[in-house]
Parts: sequence; C-alpha cells; structure tokens
Amino acid sequence: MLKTLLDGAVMMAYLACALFFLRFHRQSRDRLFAFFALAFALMGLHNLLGTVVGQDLDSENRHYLYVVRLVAYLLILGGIWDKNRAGRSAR
Amino acid sequence: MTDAGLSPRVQRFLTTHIDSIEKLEVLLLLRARTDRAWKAPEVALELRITEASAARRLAELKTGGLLLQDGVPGEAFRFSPFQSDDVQAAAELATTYAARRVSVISFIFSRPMDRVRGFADAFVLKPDKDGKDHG
Repeated sequence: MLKTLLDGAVMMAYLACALFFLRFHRQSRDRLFAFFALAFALMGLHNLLGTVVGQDLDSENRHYLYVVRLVAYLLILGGIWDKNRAGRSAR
Repeated sequence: MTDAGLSPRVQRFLTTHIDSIEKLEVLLLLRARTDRAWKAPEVALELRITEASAARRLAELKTGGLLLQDGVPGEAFRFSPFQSDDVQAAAELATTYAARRVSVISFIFSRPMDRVRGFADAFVLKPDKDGKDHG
C-alpha cells in the first residue's frame, strides 16, 4: 500500500516536471524542452505501468516495462544531440 | 512578469527570436523592404552597424526561421518566416515598436526567459569558440 502511494507521488512529480518543460518549450520554442517534456512524461508512464500492470507480470516479462524508461533516456540524449546540432548550425 | 503592456504574441515573438535591439532593427528593416534581397554589407550600411555584426544577425534570424536565404551568391536574405504566426507577430511587433518603442526595448532588456535559456544552453557541449567568428 505504501509502495503504491509512493509510486503515485513519484509519478505526479514526473508529470509535473513534464508540464514545466512543456511550458518552457511553448515559451522559448527550444526543442530541447520538448524532448525533456516527453521524456519525463514517459518516466511518469513507466511508474504508472509499473504500479498498475507490473504487479501482474511475472518476473520473466517485467523487464519489458523498462523499455519505456530506456526510450525516455534516449529521448533526453536525442534532445542534447539535437541541441548541439542546432547550436552548431546557428553559428 | 514585466509585460510592459505588450501583447502576448509580441512578447512571445521577442522572447523567442529577439535578444538585442540590433537584431530587432535588422529584422524590421528586412520586413519593411521585402521587395529585394539583402546582403550583410547592405544591411550594415543601412543601419550603420559593422558588416560582421550584420552578417551574424542575419544568420541568427535565418536559423530562427524568419529569413530565407536567396539562391544568389553572396548570402542574400529575404524576410520570409516559415510559420504564418511569425508573420503576424512580426507585423504586430513593427506596429508596437513604432508606437511604443521604449516598452519594446525595456522588454528585450528584461529578458524574462534568460534563466530558462541558460538552462537549455547548459546542454551545449561545445560552446562558441570565444566569439572567434563574431566581428
């Protein structure tokens, strides 16, 4: 019960971060923030799936949930790559 | 937020594209004279700024999606934003700048997005080489 509660709190924190980054993206139109918003939304989704679906999955399949998290991290890396690429072409 | 009585669209446009008065002047010049393509020396002459500075502003505005580089050699630019919203925002900005110049200038200098931009720029791994290519 406590774990579910904490998972919910962490998910809410991820989604709050995603909304902040979304706002920064709307204000600055910097794509980096869009990547970050999406990444944090995915991390929130991972938490949600872990809580809702994860407990029913057997240990053989549970690791598939982490693909969502992997995609989120790749999005952050992609955003940083994109930022550097854009920065270089701007010079 | 110090909006200085500017419309949200103008504020957003300034925040996104304009970080100096020089850039604003270059943009407004090209917007006012769309009948021809502008090269850096011509912009420099018209605005009485250095050629390198004009070239840099033109390149920045092009990167921001506001200018189109003409096919002619010598890097000539035209005012031609990719997004229709930018066209309207630039028109509104030109009107506002003519009527309330001080408000626009104050807003540019207040730079409300500075911290957010600073955060984003922290992810640039190789920053500008000490302004080597800046005149």
